Amino acid sequence: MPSPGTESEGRFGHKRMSRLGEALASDGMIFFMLAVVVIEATALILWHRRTAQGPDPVELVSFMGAGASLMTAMFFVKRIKKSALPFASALLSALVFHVWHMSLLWTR
Amino acid sequence: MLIDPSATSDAGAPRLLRIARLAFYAHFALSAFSGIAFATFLIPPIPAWMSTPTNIKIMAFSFVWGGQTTVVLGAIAGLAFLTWAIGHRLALAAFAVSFVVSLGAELAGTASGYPFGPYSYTTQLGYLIGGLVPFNIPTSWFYMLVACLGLCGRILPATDDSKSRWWWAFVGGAVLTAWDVSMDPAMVKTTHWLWHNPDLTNAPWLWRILGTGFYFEMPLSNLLGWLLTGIIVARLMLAIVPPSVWVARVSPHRFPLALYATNGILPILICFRWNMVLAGVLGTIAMGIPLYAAWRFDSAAARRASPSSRATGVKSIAISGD
Repeated sequence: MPSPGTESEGRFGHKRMSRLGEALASDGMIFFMLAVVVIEATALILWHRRTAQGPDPVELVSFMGAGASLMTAMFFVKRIKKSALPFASALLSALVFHVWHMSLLWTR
Repeated sequence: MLIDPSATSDAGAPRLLRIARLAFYAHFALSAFSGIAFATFLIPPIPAWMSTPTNIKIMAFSFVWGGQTTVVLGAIAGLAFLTWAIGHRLALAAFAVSFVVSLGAELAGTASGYPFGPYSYTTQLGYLIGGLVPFNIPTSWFYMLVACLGLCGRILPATDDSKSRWWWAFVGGAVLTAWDVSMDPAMVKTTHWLWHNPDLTNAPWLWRILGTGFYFEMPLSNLLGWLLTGIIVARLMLAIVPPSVWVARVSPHRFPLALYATNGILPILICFRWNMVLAGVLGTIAMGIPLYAAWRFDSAAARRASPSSRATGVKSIAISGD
């Protein structure tokens, strides 16, 4: 028979993992990450405008757009039964942002 | 700015204006006919004379093709007019951006319920892109935003700085949303699209406020979604075509006012005749305010706009009562 301490730790760990799983599976996590991306990009663009320091806004948008598109694809892959087009569009958008970003790096 | 707005000369300008005018007249005629039809003999119960086999065929044909033809004509009119006014490069870029972004918002809306709420389209507006969004919906976003930004040019000062562009985008988005006040109840009633509002009895209060179908089945999230999408699409269009260009080349003409007003006819008539008087009254007020303001307060910039190069076209479109 396991000691009470071990059992409770096991249960706690299991609960924690299940909460993490729920959080990752929920739309809320994706919305949170997208909100962070938007806030971060806005703040950096405003900072660049005021001080002319930090990353160039065009490079920033091309870089973060790809990540945001992939997160959007994560959101739509759960709804792929309804239509595959939103998921495919989000992936395509990520590709377009990525190619744009690479072309900016290439011509730097 | 993505494209140099000075590069706007179009060799086929008079022909473009003719196309815009013809498409607009046809758009107006079909909107008026549909409005009268929905306000009279299409109100259930359908009259006996409509039940003959020939009339049933005509009615079925009209239901399939009427709505989509009307919107296509509006889009042709809007695109041809904008091309005539600002040149094909800018007009096509604005069209492409507004089509792609509004289609993205509509795909997201119909697939997930964000940002408008849970709804779906029927096939009455034509082919469904991805089985979700009629191809006509993004085109109607485009030409109505052309009309809305044209109205903005008559009531807002035009400086091309970022703050001014955002303000224009906000007002343009709000003027666009005013259209939905009568349009949504009318289109739901005539089964062009349907709301699938869930039971939110045990949901958090914010979800209940946003998601309850409080206005002829429409949830508040729909108006906010329209405003948000309208602002984003308008802002992108303003990144391509700056406010000063709208003021100088688009707003002096009555075409944007005529296009905006014409698109209010059908939904407002339906609302008044299909027992949704409140939606009809609110829709008339919502669309009437910006129309009246644009009509009354011709901005100084619009008055200053050079009539030299486009004089013939301006005159003809104004005389024609558009």
